[in-house]
Amino acid sequence: MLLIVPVVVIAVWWVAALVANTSVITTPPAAVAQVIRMFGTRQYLNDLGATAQTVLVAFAFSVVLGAIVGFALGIAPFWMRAVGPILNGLYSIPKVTIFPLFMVFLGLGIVSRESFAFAHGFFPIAILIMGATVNVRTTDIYLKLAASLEMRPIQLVRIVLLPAVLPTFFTATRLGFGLTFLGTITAEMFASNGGIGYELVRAMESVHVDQIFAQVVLIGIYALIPNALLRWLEVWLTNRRGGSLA
Amino acid sequence: MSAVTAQRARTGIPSYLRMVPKRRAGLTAWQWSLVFLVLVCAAIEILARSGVVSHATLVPFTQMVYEAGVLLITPGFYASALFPSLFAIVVAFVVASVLGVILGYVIWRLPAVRRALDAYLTAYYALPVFALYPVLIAIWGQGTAPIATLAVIFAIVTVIMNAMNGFDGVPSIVDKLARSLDVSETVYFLRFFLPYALPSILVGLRLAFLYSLLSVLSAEFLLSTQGIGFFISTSYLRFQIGPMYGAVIIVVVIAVGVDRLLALLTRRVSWAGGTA
Amino acid sequence: MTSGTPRVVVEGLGKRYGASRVLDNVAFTIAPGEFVSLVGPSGCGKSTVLEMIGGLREYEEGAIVVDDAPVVGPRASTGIIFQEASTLPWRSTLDNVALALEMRGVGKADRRAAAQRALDAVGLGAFADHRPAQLSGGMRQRVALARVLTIEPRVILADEPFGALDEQTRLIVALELLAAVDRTSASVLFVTHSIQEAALLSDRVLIMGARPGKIIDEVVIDLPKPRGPELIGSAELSGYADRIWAPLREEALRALAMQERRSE
Repeated sequence: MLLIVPVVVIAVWWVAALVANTSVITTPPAAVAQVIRMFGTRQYLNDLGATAQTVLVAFAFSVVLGAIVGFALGIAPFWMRAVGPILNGLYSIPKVTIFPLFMVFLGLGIVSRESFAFAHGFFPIAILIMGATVNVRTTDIYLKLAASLEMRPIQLVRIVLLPAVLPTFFTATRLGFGLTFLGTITAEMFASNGGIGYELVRAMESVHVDQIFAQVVLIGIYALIPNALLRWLEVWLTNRRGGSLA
Repeated sequence: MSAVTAQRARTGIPSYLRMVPKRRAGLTAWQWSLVFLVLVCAAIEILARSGVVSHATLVPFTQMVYEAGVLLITPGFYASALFPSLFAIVVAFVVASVLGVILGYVIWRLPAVRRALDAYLTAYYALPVFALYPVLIAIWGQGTAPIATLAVIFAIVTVIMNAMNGFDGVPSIVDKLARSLDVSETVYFLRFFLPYALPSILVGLRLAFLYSLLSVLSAEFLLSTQGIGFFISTSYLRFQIGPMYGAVIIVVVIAVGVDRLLALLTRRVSWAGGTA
Repeated sequence: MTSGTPRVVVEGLGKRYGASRVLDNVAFTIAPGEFVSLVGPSGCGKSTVLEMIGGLREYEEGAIVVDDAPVVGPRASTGIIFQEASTLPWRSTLDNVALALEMRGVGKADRRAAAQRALDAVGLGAFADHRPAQLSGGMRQRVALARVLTIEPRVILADEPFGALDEQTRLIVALELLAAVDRTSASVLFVTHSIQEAALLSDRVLIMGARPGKIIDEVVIDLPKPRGPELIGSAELSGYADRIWAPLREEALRALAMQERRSE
């Protein structure tokens, strides 16, 4: 059941390739052959490493900072109302537009790309967690229960707020990974001399169609695998705690 | 019961149960938002004018606004940058919205199809769909077509997902009501069904706009000869950071402005209180 | 049954909301071990009074004294059962019940043992490892009661705990609550809008009117304890229900007349 979609996609792709010119669209087998060839080169493995490093650093920072900022704002509804709209506004600005600013301020190196990717993941994570936190924070029944048991604010956080927000944290993490990955590839496509994105742009510019398709397929796989992994992690942790997290 | 715990001297209602104050330090939340914005603009102004940050990097805020103004009265900017981008964005947004709602409805009516697609739809935005851009150029050549197509492909999935979410939320009583009034399929969809799903659909549209904007600008940045993205890119490469910041300000205003508008529209349309 | 100084004293309790008066000179006492119900129409302020006694709401006018100490905030010896289920969905039933003792710093083994005993007392001993989501609404309220019992409260405040249950279930569960509470020596303030429930469970019923909220009458229920399901539908209970309903009917008619006058 789960494999129907990929099968259909590959079938459509194959047909399109045969119908159109194979110098415009590669056939799936040709793409696979190219993938195998690419993995044989040291160059590609270096690129893969560079991209992975950028993604992981940006992802880690965006999850940690996004969760902290989101949670902190969610606990303080007044400041959420003050800062929330600014976060939403910054989120709605396409980071691509300000990509030159990253280059201008941080140069062309890996830090610049990591920051760019970080900016992609930070805002949605913070906004999602802020929303979930403020929801619990303003659920009267929990607050009254806590007060009746003489819970100190710190205990409210540990016993009510954090467990309630945990499911959203996982969702936000998965979303954040996808977005930081996207940000990394984009940065590498625009201004880099290494990384998967850079390879893709080179293939695009030299119109090396086999390369293009191989790269696209691989990038798709790279994006989907961590998503699935994070989902399995979430399920495993849920079962360890004995049942639903929420 | 176990050992007697010391009587903690705890008096008063806990802070978290008290009502959230309307003001802090005399200002409302909204006013604090303005304060923060003003502080940032002032910081940019001071850092740029004082030379702490070099003139090749940062430009005073007032100058950014001035540059934006200059661009907005330059016909060339409209012809080669603003209109091509806006055209692509609007076309992509409209197509993604209409097609997305229709496809969303079709898939929603076919549960087997929905189940098969579900895992992939939620993982869709992890994919750099953007990477298909070169393929599209290879098919159509340079121009608006590949850019708009790419934007539609990028934006349509969030419309589909949020539309289905909205359709899920329509209470079954609506169906019974319509049937008791014996209305046609089209009337049912437009007059009964859609209004309930509208708030969720609007959430999807808001994201679709942002994704169209993002997609178009990215494509222009990378492999194009026109549009705002191209303009920003070339301004940077030619060290003309003044006009670059001006164009950035214009994009920011469009992005935030349309987003806020759609947010307001969503709130106006959220009449079904609890169910939406 | 009643002896010595009252455990709960409410005097001259008032509250304004803007220009209108929400509570007006509410005053009553509750003796040690007494079960008192507070009935009244929706919006008369009975939940507000309960929350004030529980230290969850501020009061500017009047005095509330529990165990000779004025109420200034929540108190460890006062247990509250709320209208909605106050169970935390991510904790097991046992850990939900143990929460009160956990806040007191009681060790894990001790508090879990106490929680199990409390669950047994309300008849849910077998559900200790279930999640609240797997229990019915009535069962969740019994879990809330079990949690209150673990702290051996001096005062129990119950705010329409069975509001979400159907008529038959709520009376049966209400009797179970009464049985569990009778085994302690707690004073109980039970807020409800069900006259049957109030008459069935209480030693005394306070009747509250609305706009402004104030105590308009009091009915002493002189039925033998322990109370059992045979009382439901009996002549004696109906008699008391009628006596409680009479002043409430006057109130309802008055409120209706006021509304009609306002909409003219």
